[in-house]
Amino acid sequence: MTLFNSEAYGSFTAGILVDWNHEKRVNKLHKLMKKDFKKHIKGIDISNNRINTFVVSSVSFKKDISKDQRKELELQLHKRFERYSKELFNTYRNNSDHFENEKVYTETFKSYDIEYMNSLMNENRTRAINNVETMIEHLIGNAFVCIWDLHHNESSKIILKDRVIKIPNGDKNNHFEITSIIDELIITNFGLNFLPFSDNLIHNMDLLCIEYMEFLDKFDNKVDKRILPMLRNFIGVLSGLQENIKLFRRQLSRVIDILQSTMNEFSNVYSNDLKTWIENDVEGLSNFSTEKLNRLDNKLVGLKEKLRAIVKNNYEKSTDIVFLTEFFKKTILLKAEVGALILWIHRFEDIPSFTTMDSGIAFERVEKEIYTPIYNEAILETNKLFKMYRRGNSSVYVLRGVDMKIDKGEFVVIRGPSGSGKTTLLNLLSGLDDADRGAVFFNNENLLAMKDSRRTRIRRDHYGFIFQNYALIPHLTAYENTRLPLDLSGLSKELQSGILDLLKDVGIGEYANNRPALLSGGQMQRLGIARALIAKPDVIFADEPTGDLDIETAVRIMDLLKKYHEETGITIVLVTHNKDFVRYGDREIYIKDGQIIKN
Amino acid sequence: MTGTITRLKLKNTENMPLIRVNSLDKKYNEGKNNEVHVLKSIEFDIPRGQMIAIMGPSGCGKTTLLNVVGGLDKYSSGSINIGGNNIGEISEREMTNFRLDNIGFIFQLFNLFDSQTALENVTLPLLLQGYSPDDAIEKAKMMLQEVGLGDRMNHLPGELSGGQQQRVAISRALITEPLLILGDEPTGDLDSETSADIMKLFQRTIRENPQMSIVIVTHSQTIAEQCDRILRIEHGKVASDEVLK
Repeated sequence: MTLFNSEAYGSFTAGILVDWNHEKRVNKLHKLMKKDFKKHIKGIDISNNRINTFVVSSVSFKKDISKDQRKELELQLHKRFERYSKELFNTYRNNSDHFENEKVYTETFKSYDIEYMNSLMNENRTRAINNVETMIEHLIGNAFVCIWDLHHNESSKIILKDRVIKIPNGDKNNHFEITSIIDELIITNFGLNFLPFSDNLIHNMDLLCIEYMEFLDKFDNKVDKRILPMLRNFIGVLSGLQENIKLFRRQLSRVIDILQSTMNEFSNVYSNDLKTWIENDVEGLSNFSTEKLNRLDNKLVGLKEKLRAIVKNNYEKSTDIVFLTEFFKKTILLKAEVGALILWIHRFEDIPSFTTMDSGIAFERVEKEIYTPIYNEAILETNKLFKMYRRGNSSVYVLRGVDMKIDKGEFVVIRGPSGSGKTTLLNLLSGLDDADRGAVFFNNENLLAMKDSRRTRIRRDHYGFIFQNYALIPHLTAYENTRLPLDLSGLSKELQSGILDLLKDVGIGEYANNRPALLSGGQMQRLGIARALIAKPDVIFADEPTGDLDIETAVRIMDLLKKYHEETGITIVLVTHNKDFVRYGDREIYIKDGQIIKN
Repeated sequence: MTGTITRLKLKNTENMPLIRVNSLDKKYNEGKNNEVHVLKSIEFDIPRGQMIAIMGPSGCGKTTLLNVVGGLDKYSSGSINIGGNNIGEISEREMTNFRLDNIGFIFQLFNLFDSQTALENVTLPLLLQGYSPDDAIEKAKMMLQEVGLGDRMNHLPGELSGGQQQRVAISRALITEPLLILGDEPTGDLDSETSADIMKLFQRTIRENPQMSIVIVTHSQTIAEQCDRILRIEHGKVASDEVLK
């Protein structure tokens, strides 16, 4: 895939780390960048594409751009970008959700008559948040990537915060497509900053935990029961961090995975600068381990155990106030740092779902892309299917670059755990849904590029559907339910004469005049199969057809489908989470977390 | 709020099983032409501190079993004893209170009130128990913090990811400090990594609260293997009972 107009002289691409929770600000930034592109380089074909928490803006230009003009654009974009970051941080600062749980602390301070602790608590909180927010701001700034793809120059240039990486263009026939590595470039560069920053935070937290643990050892009989609510609350605070560490671990692991695969990918690129970058920076960090997080988690477990033991103590009535104030100071310090660390973790929530692709860029939303079928003989084919949606604060990545094909006459079982994306994939193959990126070819025609009316006609004329919940019309008899597709297609009466035969064939001939309410689950599904088959479709799509049935009936239904497959050579695409049904198909496609897993 | 209805206490000691199911039978449409014998003489005990998975093919009766144990559905014959109380012998109102005080439910689709914030959803059981709003809010805040949602309390369910919504649901289930959690495919709507996180949260809960037990209905082998024990139901009967840990 090329990002630019092939008649263009070259292209410019900017990769920016954004916060999708404030989409309006991102859109505003886009508009401003568009102006800059037009003004500084007379840019054409401006597109904004999306990959995880990054936005990639691309623009082509027709004439040669001087070095000065390039620098001007880069500076201008940097300014825009800084402004965006600052405005974002003002929004963050006004969010009071950070530390809701302070009532129990202030009440405890009051009960001991040391209300001055409140201001210390506020100070700690403010300082901790500011520190983390500053780190986030730095990270965003460092994550900014600019790429100049200059055909007529000797090389293309990747501009990072601390260096310029030149990639020689090679000769005309061998022009290196920089767009094939943009996704890896962006996340590698991000990782090179994210990992060390995160390491610092983990290390810091580790030290605080050790110190706190040592202090807890001195606890015996120095305080009275008034401290209990606060202790209990603080145990909860530590549990909250434990929960967020799970997400943290996934973020770090994902980045490390990509760093490791990037080294392979980049080794094929002929560029000294790139090699140096890999050897000096990337290689070192690819060995980063999440073991530190495990150790931190263990410390938290230990701390909680100790705190629980203290909660169960026998309390004296007196209190050593010196000890108590020291304890409070240490507790509110740790509490503030825990809150800040959780903030850091939450900011990069989407990172575990970052996708990379071997060929092209793993954009999830693309403004302009043309697709062509690869397998001309296949009856169904998908090309770079992506589907995602926002759900409140986070994104759901349902399909992350699905490429597959189905040949005519195949019985394919699409299997995967719940939430894997298999039903979404089926809905896309059957023209019932739209994707954010990619194509679905039926007999080499892209369903997603069709007008809705044409897609509907294809569904009506070529597809049969079997649903988990049968989807029968309750006030129609079995016969009438089966006839319905024919009525809707205006198909000839000849086919209608086959209805009774078909009902007998699926085993419910004697119930032809019954309504669904009088049929068992298995019988209803047999009717569902008859309805799906009556118009002699090219493809049957079945979504968990045996989901609502007991095991014995399920097996009989699967046998029936298999029988039709063998007798008529019809193409069947069946979705299930059940491993036992894979054997009915010619082939299994296993999908997990939006991607096809190859064995 | 609940008038003079007796609130049942858990009578049994720590050593007795939390749940005792004896010769449990359940039939739908009993006595009619379309009678379905869903549960057939089911027998098992669940000790405290155990996380148990109930598995079986679709239609085997596992969800029915869960509903019956949770008092959401009636059984035809046999007995179910929870904490020394035979739940077949208590009135509907007593059962309602018993459920409120001792059982927490978690569903595949979370079942949160969409128009209420995370915090409001979690305070609700406490308000039903008679806590003052202030006390209920304080407890709920702490619970949400414990599951890692300290900074998301005022979000509506629609503003939370699936995993976060399920954590709110778990908070709601745990807020009354129940002795039994019943989950029907609690990770069914979540991706594999979030599912793993939720299962680890369940494991931590049991570890830190060994007086509790958790029963999870699932069709996923992966999920079941993260429990202490797997009970397999087939054709309405216990087909196998395997202790993993």
